[in-house]
Amino acid sequence: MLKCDNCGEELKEINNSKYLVCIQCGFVSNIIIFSTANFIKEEELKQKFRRNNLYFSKTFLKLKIPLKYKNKINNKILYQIRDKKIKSRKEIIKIIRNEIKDNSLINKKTIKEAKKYINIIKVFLNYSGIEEIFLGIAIIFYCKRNNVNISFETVAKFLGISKNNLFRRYKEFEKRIKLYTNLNFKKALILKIIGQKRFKNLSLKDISLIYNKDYQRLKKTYLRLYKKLKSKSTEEIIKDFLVNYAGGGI
Amino acid sequence: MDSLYFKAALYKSLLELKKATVEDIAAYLLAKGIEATPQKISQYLIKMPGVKYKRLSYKTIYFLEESNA
Repeated sequence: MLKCDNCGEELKEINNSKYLVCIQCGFVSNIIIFSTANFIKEEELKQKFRRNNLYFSKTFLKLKIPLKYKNKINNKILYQIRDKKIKSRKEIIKIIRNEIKDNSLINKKTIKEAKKYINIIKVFLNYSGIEEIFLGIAIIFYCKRNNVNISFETVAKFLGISKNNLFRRYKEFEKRIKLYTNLNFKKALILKIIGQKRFKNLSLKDISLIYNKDYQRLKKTYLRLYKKLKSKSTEEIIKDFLVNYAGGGI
Repeated sequence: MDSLYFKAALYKSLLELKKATVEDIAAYLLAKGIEATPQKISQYLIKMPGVKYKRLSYKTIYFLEESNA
């Protein structure tokens, strides 16, 4: 039985609310009960959900699980937790995460490939945002490059983030990277040599990914350019090499 | 970005480059850390006093009035 923090009397649930209230003093406790209404609708297990086991409900009451995981709990997960007699919060979150991944709509291969783009995305979004959004944008960016059809909704569902936010951030990223993809890749390498604010944080592998070039060849051209420009000042480099046609050829 | 600051950056880039297409100016500004599209740059340049342009069949060249290109 759960007791009140204030007076020590019994706590009871009020009809149709998630909160527990003390009978004696009216104190509303911080502990929140999970509503079972959502679980009953599950198609896989149509039988009515009964909480015969008291231990089962108590463990849930004591744990503070963040909202984004709480929304994804279904019957399957609840039965898993009961059968394995899991008590700690971390393990429950692990189970929920695995369950979400099992229902994945995206191949593991695409995720693996997309993870290579994460550093580029972080640099172009000024490192602001959570990891899941970076991954989501990387997946979409990779799929668009390789002509794989994918919607924002599936990616958002897979990662458990909002669709609108993902869309907005992706457009922000696309707008910025377009400025650089229009350039010749040699100009991008010159930007790296100068130490431009974005390209100084990118590695040569990242640049080869942006411009779809072979890494070894790109490295060779980089070294060749670096030898050429080593002795010159940045102003000279910008005028003579980066802006090729300035004042000439007219 | 502040439009006044952006205009100043455009003037400075034209002073440095003397004659330039919009793509050149865009590359120059990128090197300095200012991100702008060629379309945006041309929108600003056409309205700016003291800036002239010549339209050739394949590109448009911008320059300052004093330079007499």
